[in-house]
Amino acid sequence: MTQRRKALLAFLLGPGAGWLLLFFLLPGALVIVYSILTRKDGGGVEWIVDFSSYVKLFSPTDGAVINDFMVIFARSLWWAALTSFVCLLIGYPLAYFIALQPAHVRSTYLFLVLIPFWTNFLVRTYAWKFILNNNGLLNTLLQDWGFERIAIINTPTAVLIGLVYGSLPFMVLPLYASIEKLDFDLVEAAQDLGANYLSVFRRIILPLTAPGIGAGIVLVFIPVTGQYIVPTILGGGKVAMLGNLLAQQFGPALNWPFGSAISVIFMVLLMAAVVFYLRSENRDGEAGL
Amino acid sequence: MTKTVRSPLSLMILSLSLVFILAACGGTDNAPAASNGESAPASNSAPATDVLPEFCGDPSKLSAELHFFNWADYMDEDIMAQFEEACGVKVTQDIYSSNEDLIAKLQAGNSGYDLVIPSDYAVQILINAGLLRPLDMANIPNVVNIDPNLMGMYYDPENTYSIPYQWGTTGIAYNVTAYPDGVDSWAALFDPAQVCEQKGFASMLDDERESIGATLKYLGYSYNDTDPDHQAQARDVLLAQKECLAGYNSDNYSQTLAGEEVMIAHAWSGGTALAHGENENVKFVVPKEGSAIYMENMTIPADASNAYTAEIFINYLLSPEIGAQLSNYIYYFSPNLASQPLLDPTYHALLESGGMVVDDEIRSRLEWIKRDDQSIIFSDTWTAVKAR
Repeated sequence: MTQRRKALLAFLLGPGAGWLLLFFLLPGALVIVYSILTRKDGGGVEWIVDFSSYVKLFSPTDGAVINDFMVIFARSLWWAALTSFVCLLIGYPLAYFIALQPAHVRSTYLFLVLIPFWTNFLVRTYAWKFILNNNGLLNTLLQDWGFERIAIINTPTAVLIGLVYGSLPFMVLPLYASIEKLDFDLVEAAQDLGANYLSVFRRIILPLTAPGIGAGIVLVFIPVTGQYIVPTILGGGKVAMLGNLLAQQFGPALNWPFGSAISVIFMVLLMAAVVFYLRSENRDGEAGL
Repeated sequence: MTKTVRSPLSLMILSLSLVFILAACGGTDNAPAASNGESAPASNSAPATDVLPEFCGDPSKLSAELHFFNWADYMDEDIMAQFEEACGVKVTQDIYSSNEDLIAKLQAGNSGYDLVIPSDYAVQILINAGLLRPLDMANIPNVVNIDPNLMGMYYDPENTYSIPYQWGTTGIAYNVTAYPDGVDSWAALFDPAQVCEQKGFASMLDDERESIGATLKYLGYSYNDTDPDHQAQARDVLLAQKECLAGYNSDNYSQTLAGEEVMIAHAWSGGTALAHGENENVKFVVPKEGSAIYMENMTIPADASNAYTAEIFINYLLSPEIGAQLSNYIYYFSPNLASQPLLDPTYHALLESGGMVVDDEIRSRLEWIKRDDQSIIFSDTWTAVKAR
């Protein structure tokens, strides 16, 4: 490599690499370091190495091996999986529909998918609260039409609605990008050779759009595990997710090392999941990276 | 596989960049720059007369700006404007929503704030961490207006660092249409048979110290009890109560009370006064088993650049007239005795009819929330309540 090419490379990569170093790697390292320090009452840390945060995280409570922290971990993962699944069910037909439209209409539809981002997520979540409230829009309409009121606000169902609503565009966009690239000659060829709709979808369309599905799931799953706003506002703060647990540790508990330890363990879990996903993609001959 | 299929990574990057571009369009930081306006003289925005009123102190020591960090709905902004008019000091206010936010901000250093309003236990934490500056009482002669009974509290026995700002109590807010005979005991919230009569219309404060503390009181213990057995009992009471709650809410309980979305709520007296002002059916009671008292305090961060100006402003807030103006606006209990005769009659009437007035008998049932190295157990109990 010549001197000039090296300089050019440094020039091009420098800003991005510097950004990641400053705002991703350093804070990440800080979290790991904090997780093995001693809690200072009143917030902050003492610079004394102490692994008690990890011990606490894995100690049984009340004789149960699955302690309260693990329950919250499991719930966050389960709700994130459920949200990804529902988003996929709703998002796939939508993305497919958009991808089949003429080019100029397509951009309009994509634009519509993105429009909710123009309003702050907190405001949109409050809007859902007004819809789902005991005396909210939904229940008023139900009563007007002669049905019983349903108690949906402050339940896990309301949380799931909010999570799916907030995550749907993150599923639709990668799916669209993937379906739009689909070579429909292959679909026709399969049909000519006698495949019915189901097997065309199962054996041609689904495998070819799998990368979009995978990307969509990763984009939905990871942010949802850390959700804080939706369980607080639509769940009435009754059922905690990981984000709420973290806010509690850094907030009222003023236990920074323990909050950091929770983050570290969860980072490891998510990283393992992503690596596993990329590996399996590669095994399918999908050379993702 | 065809080459046209994008790799998952590039799809992720595409989608993420879309999101970040959109996200980048919002959000600004309101915190004042730490390096801001170090004690520049107030000359350019000073009033027309050359001689400032006496309460403005020494004009040569006044700064042009004062950075005030306060709770939401806890200041009449007219007062800030009047102070600027009189003394030429522009007071800018930022808002925090918990003591822990404030503590974290001050601990990070260079917050840039000159005046902050921590609650009782937070004052203790900040003093122990060396984050507050001793007040120069020579600049705050109006401190004599404060009720002597509210001076010298446990967290700052000599009032070296803090002066009371406003105070209140924790208790139960209820709607008289659902409780025509009133409420007098924590049992209304913690006895499952009673709270479930209002299933979906009852709320607790989303605050580990307050909610667990109230449960401990109901069980006959101290608000600050850290005994593991007592904490476990409190946890079980809270878990039994949970299925009949609308939720945990310490942010907008005054709106949900006023709008009758909840009929009974674990609440602070200050927020309940607001709700009562909007909906006279909302009343407040300090349960017979006892409850908590809280007080916010005016303090100056150790690294404040405009400490003198902050002291002059504290003194201004403690004058009888301004103290009364503040109370008439925010409806909290004022420690400012000299301002009492100047209060709007509706202020007294409102606290009276809402059941908020604290007499000596009620006062004897109130406990401060205290923090020590055992208090961490409150967080674990609270996690259990939220996890199960």
